[in-house]
Amino acid sequence: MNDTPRKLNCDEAIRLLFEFLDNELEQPDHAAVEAHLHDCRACFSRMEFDKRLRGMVKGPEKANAPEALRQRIKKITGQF
Amino acid sequence: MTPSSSAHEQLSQHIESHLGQLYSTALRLTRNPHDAEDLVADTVERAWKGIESLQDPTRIGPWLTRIMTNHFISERRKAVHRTPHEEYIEEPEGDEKPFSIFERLHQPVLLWWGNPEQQFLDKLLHEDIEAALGSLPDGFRVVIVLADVEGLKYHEIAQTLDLPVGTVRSRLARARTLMQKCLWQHALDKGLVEQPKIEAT
Repeated sequence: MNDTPRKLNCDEAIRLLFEFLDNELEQPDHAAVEAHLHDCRACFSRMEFDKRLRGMVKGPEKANAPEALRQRIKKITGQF
Repeated sequence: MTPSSSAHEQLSQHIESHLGQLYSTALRLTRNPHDAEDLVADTVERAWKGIESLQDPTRIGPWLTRIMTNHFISERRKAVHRTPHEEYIEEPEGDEKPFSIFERLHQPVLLWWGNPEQQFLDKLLHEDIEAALGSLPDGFRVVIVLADVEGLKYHEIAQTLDLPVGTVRSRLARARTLMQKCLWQHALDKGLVEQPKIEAT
C-alpha cells in the first residue's frame, strides 16, 4: 500500500482549499492538500490569508444581549 | 409559563448562558439590533413551545440555530411579499468567476517593505467585514453565518436548511467568493487599497 499523498498542482490545491480549511475533505485529498501546502510557499500564504480572513468573519465570540431582550426572554421562559 | 420538564430547564439554562451568542448570530443574519432582538425572542418562544421536537438534549445549540435560521428565512420571504422592493435571494443566478483578494494582492517575490496581503488584513475593521457580509444575498449570508460564525459542518448546514450536502458545498464556495468580491470593492471604496492601474495596451 502506498501512503504517499498524491501530488497536486497549485490550481488543484486551491480548488480544495475552502473544504480543507473547513476540515471537510476525505483523507486522501486532505493529505494531498496538506503535502502541497508544505511544499508550496504561495499556496501556504494563501491558506494563511483565507484562514485569517475567516477568523475575522467569525468575529467576536458573542455580543452583549440588550437588557430589553433579557426581559423579553424572561417573560417567555418565566425565569432567570 | 414555568419550566414543566427537565427539558425546559435544560433549555432555560442553555439560553441563559448562550443569549449573547444567539443575539450575535441574529445580528449577523438580520443586520440590525431591533430585528435581531425580535429574531432571538421569536426563536426562544418557538423553542419553548416546541420543546418536544428536541430529540437530543445534548444538541440544544444546533437545534436553536435551526429554529432561528428557518424563522429568519421564513420572515424574509414574508417581507418580500409585503414590500415589492424587497427581494429574498436564496442563491443568485450564474457562476461567479473565481476571485481571490489574496491573488489581487500577492507579490510573487518577497518585498523588503512588507507583505501586502497581511497589511490588507491589518487594516480591516470588524465593520468592514460586516459591510461585506451585509451586502450578500440572504441565502449566501445564511450559509456563511452557519459555517463561519456558528462553525457548523456541511451535513449540519444541510440538515438546518433542508438541502443536499452537495448544494451546501457549492453554495458556500460561491458565497465566499462573492464575499471576497464585496470586501474588495468595499476596501476600494474606502481607500483601504489602491484601485489597480489599467495597463496601457
